[in-house]
Amino acid sequence: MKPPRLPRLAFAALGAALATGVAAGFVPVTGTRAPSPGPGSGAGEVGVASLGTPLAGTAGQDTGDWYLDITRPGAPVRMAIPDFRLAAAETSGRGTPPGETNAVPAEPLSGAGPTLAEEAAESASVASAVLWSDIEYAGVYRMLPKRFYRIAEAGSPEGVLDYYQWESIGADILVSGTLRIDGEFLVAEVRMHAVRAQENVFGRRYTAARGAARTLAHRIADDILQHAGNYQGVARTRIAFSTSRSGPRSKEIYLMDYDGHGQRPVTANGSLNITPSWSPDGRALSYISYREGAPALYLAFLYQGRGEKLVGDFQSFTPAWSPDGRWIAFTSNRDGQSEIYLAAVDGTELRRLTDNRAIDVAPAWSPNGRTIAFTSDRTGAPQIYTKDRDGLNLRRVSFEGSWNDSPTWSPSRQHSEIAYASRIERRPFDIVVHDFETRQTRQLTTGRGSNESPSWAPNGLHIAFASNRAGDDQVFTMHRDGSNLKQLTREGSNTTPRWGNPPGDPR
Amino acid sequence: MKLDSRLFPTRRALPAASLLALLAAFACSSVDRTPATGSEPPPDLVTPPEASEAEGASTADPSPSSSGGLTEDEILAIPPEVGSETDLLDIGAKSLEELNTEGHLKDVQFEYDSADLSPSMRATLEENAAWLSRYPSVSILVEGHCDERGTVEYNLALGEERARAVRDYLRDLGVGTGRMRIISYGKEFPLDPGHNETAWRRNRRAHLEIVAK
Repeated sequence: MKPPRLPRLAFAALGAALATGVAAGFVPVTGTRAPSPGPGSGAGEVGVASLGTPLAGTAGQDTGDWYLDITRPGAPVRMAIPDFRLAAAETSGRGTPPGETNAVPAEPLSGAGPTLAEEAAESASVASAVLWSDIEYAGVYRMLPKRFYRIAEAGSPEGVLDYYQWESIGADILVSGTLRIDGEFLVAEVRMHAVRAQENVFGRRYTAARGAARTLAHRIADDILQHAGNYQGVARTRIAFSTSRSGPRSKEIYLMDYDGHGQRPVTANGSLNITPSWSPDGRALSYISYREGAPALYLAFLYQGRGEKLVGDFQSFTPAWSPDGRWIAFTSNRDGQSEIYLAAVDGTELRRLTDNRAIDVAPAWSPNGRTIAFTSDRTGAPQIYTKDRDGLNLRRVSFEGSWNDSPTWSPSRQHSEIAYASRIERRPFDIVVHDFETRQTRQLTTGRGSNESPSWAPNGLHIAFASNRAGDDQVFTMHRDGSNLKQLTREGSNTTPRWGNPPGDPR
Repeated sequence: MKLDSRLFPTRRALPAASLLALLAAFACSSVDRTPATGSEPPPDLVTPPEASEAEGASTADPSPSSSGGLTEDEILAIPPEVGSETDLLDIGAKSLEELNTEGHLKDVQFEYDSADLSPSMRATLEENAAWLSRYPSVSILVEGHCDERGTVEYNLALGEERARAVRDYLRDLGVGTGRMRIISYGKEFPLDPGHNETAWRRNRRAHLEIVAK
């Protein structure tokens, strides 16, 4: 990302103070660095290289656009994912797919002492569990229980992958991998097999820092999902939220992995920090902070350890970063009452989108960046509207309910829909989704606590939201049909989750 | 103006238990306050009593004499001794914290999803304006708050609208706009942590914090 110029609207940049980290009120993300393992290396924290094995359907190259063809219409696709084997464990007598161990140089684990071996075993255990739950979370495969695998492995001759054995236990797809520690790095080699076609359709070597087994597994999971079914996984995505856990009468912005792991502070200034919004490249957040008294609009560039105030005069609320990364939509009272404005991220422009005497708040961008959904009480009660970003084509979206707020526009290409929090009569809020195609509104939560502030996953298939169903407000995720509910936070009160893209992976 | 006093204002109309809890909270979050000496309040005090001082303001019958509001001239004509205080406070001798704790300025409570000022609210604000007219050096921060039943996002705007309604009425009563700033806390800082009608009514409020004297 090109560093933006010092914004015209900003007061003195906080950069120098913020760069020093927590004490200054801002916590830079310290990414793990991985070596570039040659051609095919991916961006970010995990290095990726193609293994040498020719891939089915390609001319021996892992072009990254080959998808597994499962020709058994209607039946759920069953996937087997045995635990990662330690690469040096080839003498254990367990079945090993051909070529897999050959590709891995023998690692003298024994010479490095038990600590290294234990670390490798622990990393393999973590990576296995994370890969499994990442694939399972997608909800598109039937996970074949691990207790069946012994049967398939026992029936295979030593060192040979016997596809018939895996087919006999019902596997359509087999994902197998090895893991080792090489110097300062974890190295995983992963292959995906189409069992009945008896083809190795995917083979990649992944490299990450030691201790980054979770990150490694997340990357593998997203690749597997991509290549097995052209499915955009969310394993590398993060969720930002506002939490009260750090102290009384303060809230800080935190972020966490999509599965709730790695909850860590972004702000640490002891003031009120609320309503985060991700940049489309997943490397920055905009949010509202009261650290200087009045609520002002700040940007935090996570990987540069840099922050700045974008809009500091008057009161600013509910920022939303545009899909092209160039604009922040937000609410301000600069002209008297709450209206929605657009500010260029580099501070060069300020435009007003709404103009009436009612409250206009909580803007949300459409995926193409041309339309903005927002909440307005212009008819007397808060309802959801959309308006083109040039100010034209005002449309009302919500008609049921006495209080609708917090619209979030699905980024999905398949589904054109908006989720929001809706109160029917005097009941607590529930998350509902309005489908623009069918003009139907469906309810995803049903009266368990108050459910607020929905935010779509980048693939448009899951929704994060805050609910007080378990006491304090906590962050949950669910599938877009309301199933697969998971609670991610438990400490303090946690609100306004915002689901972001994987870092360095612009849409 | 101290950041601390704006972000962690002392509340006035608190039941004893809430006050203790808040004092304990302040002791953790701010450096210039006296450390909390109290232990946990007895359990039976944790739930605020039904008839709290703050509630009284919203449930009191509107005073007929003040329900129409006063014109600027009428307010300016009010002699200083109209209140119960016959002598001017020596506000220079008191800290901001003391002034705020003593409750010279009163909160007003709003209806659900409303920023409208009722006759009783106007009466309270007229008392506040009279007090402010006696102490022209005092500047205030008007805080708008909401109850937990609304949504986070809309409540930020609603709290702003409430604070603005109070500021505009005080301005109409002759309080200079240069002495007032507004801020919305949405539902982020409830006065009463309860989850019932009593708590919600107390939390739908505008609070007037003295920030300079």
